[in-house]
Amino acid sequence: MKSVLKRIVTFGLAAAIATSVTGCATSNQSSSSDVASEKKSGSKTVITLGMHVANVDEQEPVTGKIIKAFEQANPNITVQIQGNDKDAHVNKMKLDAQSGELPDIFWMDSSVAPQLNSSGVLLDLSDFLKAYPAVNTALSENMKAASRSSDGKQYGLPYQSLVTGFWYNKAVFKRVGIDAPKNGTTYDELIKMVKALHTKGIIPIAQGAKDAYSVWGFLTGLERYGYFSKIDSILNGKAKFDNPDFLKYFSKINTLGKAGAFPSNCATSTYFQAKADFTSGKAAMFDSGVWDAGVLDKSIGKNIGFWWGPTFQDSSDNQKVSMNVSSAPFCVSKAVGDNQSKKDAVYKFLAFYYSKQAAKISYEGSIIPATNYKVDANLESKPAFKAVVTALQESGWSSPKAQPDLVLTEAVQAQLYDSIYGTMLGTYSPKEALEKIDSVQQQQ
Amino acid sequence: MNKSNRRTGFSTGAQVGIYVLLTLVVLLAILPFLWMIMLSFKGNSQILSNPLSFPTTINLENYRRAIQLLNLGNLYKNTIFIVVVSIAIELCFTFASSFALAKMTFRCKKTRSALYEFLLLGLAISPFILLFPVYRINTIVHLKEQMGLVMPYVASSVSFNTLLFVGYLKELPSEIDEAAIIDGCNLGQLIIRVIVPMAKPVIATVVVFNVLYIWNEFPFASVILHHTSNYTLALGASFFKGKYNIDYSGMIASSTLMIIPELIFYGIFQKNIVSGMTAGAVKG
Amino acid sequence: MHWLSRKRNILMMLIPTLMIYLVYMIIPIAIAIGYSFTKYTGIGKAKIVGFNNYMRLFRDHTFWIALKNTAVIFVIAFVLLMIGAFVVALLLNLNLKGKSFAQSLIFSPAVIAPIIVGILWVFILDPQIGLINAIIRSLGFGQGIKWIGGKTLTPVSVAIVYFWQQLGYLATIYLAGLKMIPVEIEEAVQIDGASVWQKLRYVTIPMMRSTISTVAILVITGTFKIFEIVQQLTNGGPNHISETLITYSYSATFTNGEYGYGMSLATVTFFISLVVIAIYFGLSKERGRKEVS
Repeated sequence: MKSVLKRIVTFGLAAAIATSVTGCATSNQSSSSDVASEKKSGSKTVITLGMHVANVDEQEPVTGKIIKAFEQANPNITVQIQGNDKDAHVNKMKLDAQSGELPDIFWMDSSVAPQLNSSGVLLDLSDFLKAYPAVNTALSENMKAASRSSDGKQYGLPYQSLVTGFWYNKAVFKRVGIDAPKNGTTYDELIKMVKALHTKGIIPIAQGAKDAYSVWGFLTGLERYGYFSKIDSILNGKAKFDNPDFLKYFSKINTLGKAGAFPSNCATSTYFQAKADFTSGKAAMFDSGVWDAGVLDKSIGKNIGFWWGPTFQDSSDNQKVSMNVSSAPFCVSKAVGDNQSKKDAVYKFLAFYYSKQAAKISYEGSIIPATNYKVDANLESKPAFKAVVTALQESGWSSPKAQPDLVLTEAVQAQLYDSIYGTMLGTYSPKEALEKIDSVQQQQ
Repeated sequence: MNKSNRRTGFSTGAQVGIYVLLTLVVLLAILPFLWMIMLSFKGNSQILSNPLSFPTTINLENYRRAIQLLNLGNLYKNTIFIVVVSIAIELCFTFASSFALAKMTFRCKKTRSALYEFLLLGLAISPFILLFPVYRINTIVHLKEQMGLVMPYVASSVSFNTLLFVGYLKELPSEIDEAAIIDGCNLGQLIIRVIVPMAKPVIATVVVFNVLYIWNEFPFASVILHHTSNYTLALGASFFKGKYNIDYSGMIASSTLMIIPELIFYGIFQKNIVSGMTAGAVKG
Repeated sequence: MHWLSRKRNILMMLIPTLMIYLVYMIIPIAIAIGYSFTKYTGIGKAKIVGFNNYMRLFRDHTFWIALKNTAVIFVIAFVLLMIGAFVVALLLNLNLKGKSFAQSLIFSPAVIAPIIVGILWVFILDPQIGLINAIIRSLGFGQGIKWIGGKTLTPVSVAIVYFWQQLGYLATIYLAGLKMIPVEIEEAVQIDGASVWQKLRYVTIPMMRSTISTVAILVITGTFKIFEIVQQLTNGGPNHISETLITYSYSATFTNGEYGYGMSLATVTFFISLVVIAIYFGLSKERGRKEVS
C-alpha cells in the first residue's frame, strides 16, 4: 500500500518537474499533478496535512495515532503529512498562502492565522460545524471563539486544549522540609518557598530564557491582574500595558528573580534545559504545560504535582484563574471548498479528529483534546496527566477566553515574552519592561 | 617546492616549535568535534544535566534511533542529486564567466571591473533575506521541490566562485594561452584543453566549498521542499525537534552520520588538490 | 587572447551566469529592499510607508546594540582570522610530516553545519553546563565566567567560535595562494640569503596580495552574516543584548512578523558590509601605493 502511494507521489512529482522543465506548464500545474495521483489511485482521495513538526509519529504521537485510526476507518482517504519544524513550517505556510499551494489542512500559529484569514486564503468552517452538530457541541464556545473573526467567520478550529501552569516535585519539597504549593498558594508564600529552596541550592522555578516563549505560568498571572478587562482598550490605544496593576505584577516577578527563583544560567538555557533541570531533580518547580505530562510520568512519577500559580492579595481581580484554552488552530485552505470530493474528505477528517474516539486516543496519550466529551480513561498509570485533570476539575477556578499572549500580534507577543524574562533576570526594571511592550504596540 | 623547504634552514628548536604549534592548532580544531562524538553516545538527560561525564557505556541507542527515524538512504540520495546538478551547472556557468572576466580583453576596462564587482555583491547577502522573493520567483517560473532549490543554489554560488576563479585565472601566465591560440586553438579548445587542466586546484577548492554549502544549507531547503520524500540531510535534524521537546542526542547522532561522508569526501578531494598542485608546479 | 575576445564570445561566456544571478540574486535583493519601504506582515498586501522603517531603526535602541555587537565580532574575528589563518597556511606549506593529515583535521570544523557548530559550543561555553567553566570550577578557580549570556562577553565568544569554524577553511584558501608563488622566486630569494622574516615581508606577502583580498572579502562578508552561531549560543538574548544585525533582522522578520522592518534592517546591514569592504580596499590600495613608492 505504502509503496504504491510512494510511486504515485513520485510519479506526480516527476510529471510536475518534467512539465516545469519543458516550460509548457500551465498555471493550474499543481492541480494537474493532483489529478494524476487521483486517477492512479482509483477512487482514493488524498488530503494533505501541514504540521509544525517534521516527524509526527515521534513528536506529536497522539495526532499520529488519530490519523492512523482515521485512515483505518476511511480506507478510501489518505492523509499525506507535510511536516517541518515550527518556525520553518510557519514561514512555509506564509509563502504557500501567496502561491496558492497551501496544504488542505494545516496547523497555524494563533497570531498568524488571523492574518491568513484576512488575506482570504482560509475556508470558513461554519458550514462544517453546521453539518456536524455533535462536533459543534463538543467544542465549547471559548474554544471556537478563539479562531473566529469579528465578522463571524470560523477560520480555524483548535488543534488541542492548551493547559499551562507550574509542575512541582513533591519529593524536592519534602527534602527541604517545606510544604509544596497548592491552588490558592499566595505570592508571599511562594517567596518564602523560593528563599528556602534557594538556600538549599535547589533551583526554585526552572525557566529557560533562550526560548523566550516559555513563560506560560507567568502569563496566567497577568489575568489575575485583570488582563482581559484591560486588553481591548490597550489594543485600541486608550490604555497602556504600563498601568498600575501590571506594574505591581511585574515588580513581583522582579522580586522573585532577586530572591533567586530562577536558575543562574537562565539567560543561556533553553526551555529544554529547564525541563532537564526539573526532571533530574535539580529544580523544584517547572513552568510548562500538559504536553510535558508524558515525560514527567516517566521521570518523576508519583511525586509530580501541578498548580495554577500564585495568587495575589493586592489585586482586586479574580484570583481563581486556571488556564485551559484553545491552542493554535487547524486551518483549512480555501481551495478545498472548490473541490467537492476533497471537501468531503476534509470534513470527514475533521469530524473524526473532533470525535469521541479521537478524544479517547488523546487522553490515552496524555493530551487534553479540544473537545469536552466525557471519556473513560484509566489515568492511574499517568500521575502527571492525572494531576492536570484534577487541577482542571478544581471547583471555582475558571479559564479566560484565551491565553493572554494569543490575542496579540507576533511582535507584541515577542516583546511581552522578552519583557517578562527581562524582569525576571533584572535586565529591565518593571516599568521599563512594560514601556517596551507599549512602544512595540504603538508600531502595530 | 618541497625540496626548497629543507633549505629554509630552520634549527631543530624551531622545528620542534613548529610541530608543537601545528599540534595545538589541530587539537583546537578537533576537540569540539571529538566532544560531539562523545555526546552522541549519551542519553538526552545526561547531555543536559551532566554533559561532562564520560558516557558510562558505548551506547549505540542514539544511532539506532537516528537510523530508524530518518530514511537516511533517501536523504543522501536527495542531497547528492541536488549537489550534483547544482554544481555541474554552476561550474560550467561561473567558470566561463570568470574566464571572460579574467582573461578576455574588454574594450572598456571599466566595464570589466564593474561587472566583477557586481558579481561579488551576492557575498554580502544573508540567505534568509532572499527566501520570500526566491519563493515567489520559483512560483512564477514554475520550479519547485528539488529543481526549485538548484537555481537559488547556483545563484548563491556565483559570487564566491567568481571571487576564487577570477583571482586564480588572473595569476595564470598568459603566455601559455597565447601560445595555444597561435597553435590554432579556438576558445572552447583553449578552455577545455589548456585552462581547465591548469585550474584543477581551484576547481577542486570551489567544488569542495560548494558541496559543503549545499550539503548543510537549511533556510532555502526548509521552505522550498514540501514533501518529506524530497528532504535533504540538513532537514534531517528537524526530525528530532518537536514544538515543546527536542531530542538532542538523536540530533547529534544524526549530525555525526551526516558529517562522516563529508569528511570522507573532503579527504578524497584534498588529495586531488595536492596532486593538482604538483602537476601545475611541474609544468610551471 | 585579444583575437578571441570578440564581443559575441564575451557575451556567450557571461550570459548564463548573469541571467541566473540576475533572476535569483539581484531581483530578490531589489524586492527585499523594496519591501523595506513598506509595512508588511508577510501575508496579504504590503502598505507603502516611505522611510518610516528607517526612521524607526535609528530610534531603536536594540538596533544600536546589534550594531555594536556586530562591530565587536567583526573586529575580533577579522584580526584573528586574517593573521591566524595565514600562520596556519604557512605551517601547512612547510615540508612537515603528516601535514596533509593535519590539514584535513584543521579543515574539519568547516564541514560541520553551522547550526551544529552552535549547539556544540553551547556545551563548551555555557556558564552552568559548559566544559570551560566545569574545568575552571574543578581546578578551584571560583565559579567561572559568563562566556555567553552575560552582559559583555557574548560577542567575543561568538567571534571565537567563528574563528574556530573558519580557520581551516580560510587557511586552505591562503594555502592555494602560497602554492601559486613560483618556485623560482622562492629559490632566488633563498640563494640571496634572506631570513625567513624578510622572505615573508618582501616576497610572500606582496605576492599574495590578491589572495589576501579574497580572504578579507570572505571574512568581512562572513562576519556580517554569522547567524546560526548566535542563534544557538544565546538567540540574541538575554533581552536582545547579544543581538547582531542579522539575528535582529531575522527575529523582526520571522519571529515578529514585521517583514518590512526586518528588510530595512537587512538592507542597512547589506550596505554597512559593502562600506566596510570599500574601506578595506581603500586602505589596502593606499598601503600598496606607499610600498611601491
